[in-house]
Amino acid sequence: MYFDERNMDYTNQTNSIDNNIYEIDTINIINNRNDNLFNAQEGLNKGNMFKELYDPYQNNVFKIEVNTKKDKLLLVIQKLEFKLIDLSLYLDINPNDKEMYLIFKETLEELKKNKEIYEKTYGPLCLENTTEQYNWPDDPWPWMMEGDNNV
Amino acid sequence: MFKYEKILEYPIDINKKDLRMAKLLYEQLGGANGEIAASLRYMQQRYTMPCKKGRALLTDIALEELNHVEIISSMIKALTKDATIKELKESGLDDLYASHNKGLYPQSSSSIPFKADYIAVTGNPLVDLMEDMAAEEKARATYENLMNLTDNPQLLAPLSFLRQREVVHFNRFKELYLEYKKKGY
Repeated sequence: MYFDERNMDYTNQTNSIDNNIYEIDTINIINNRNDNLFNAQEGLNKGNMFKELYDPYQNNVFKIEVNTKKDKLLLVIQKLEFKLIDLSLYLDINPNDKEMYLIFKETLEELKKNKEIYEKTYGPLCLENTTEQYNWPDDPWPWMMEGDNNV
Repeated sequence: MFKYEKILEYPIDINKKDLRMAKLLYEQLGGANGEIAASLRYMQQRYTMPCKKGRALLTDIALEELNHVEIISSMIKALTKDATIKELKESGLDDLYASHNKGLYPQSSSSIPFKADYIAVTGNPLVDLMEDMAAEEKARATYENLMNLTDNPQLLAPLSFLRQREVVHFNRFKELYLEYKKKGY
């Protein structure tokens, strides 16, 4: 699942990441770009959205790779959630940065739409999005690996 | 009020048992610089932050640290899956097993239970933020030590992610600290 990129030129990997993510039917509405930010997938891989703050340990860079349709959609949600978390910490102390807030709002919209697709197919991520049945307790919970429902 | 989402902040996919590393990861669960300490520290410090920026930042980082408690716990859970008694004895996790079986008790890698002594809540925003910066740096160093102790990319990838989050948090706390210092809080 993790592609070990130590000793590799990371910049050459960007295209393959995007193909990986967007071959499935997800919503992508981000229009605003900010050159100071990594894209969401790169941000999640690195643990940091902000280029100027990025400070890796030795030459450790890892790329998350997933195979199933479900995991790919989940990864889209994870990278958007991560982007929101990291932007929010910045906005907490820079609340007047209008450009960053616009990116935050667009990311939120993209996340909502992808979550809706996921929850319709695979069940609720949040309690309030249970469907016709009360399926909130259904496995898997986040700490259960695929096929490990027998804890 | 807190609401839960059934999703990890960073995906965990560990299919190789490694009880020795599981034991070492307990340091970042219930150790002095661990994720439980971090979350509790910011959560309880936020009430005496002097402005909205501090209240927001400490709340949001406290919540992110809870995500990290969940990531570390998931890693320990995966690393110890199907562990035999013999393997527990060999790894040194048998002392944990004696009281807690396979429960994820909040303790350090050297079996010291989590304690509130690890955190300061001084009521002084400058002192608290300085402690927070130090805490993030100590956690960053701990993650580097843990990364030195394994070659498995299934562990290195999430450890590298968690380490980088310490870097980001440190910088946000520092920005706020400098602003508060300037304002004379």
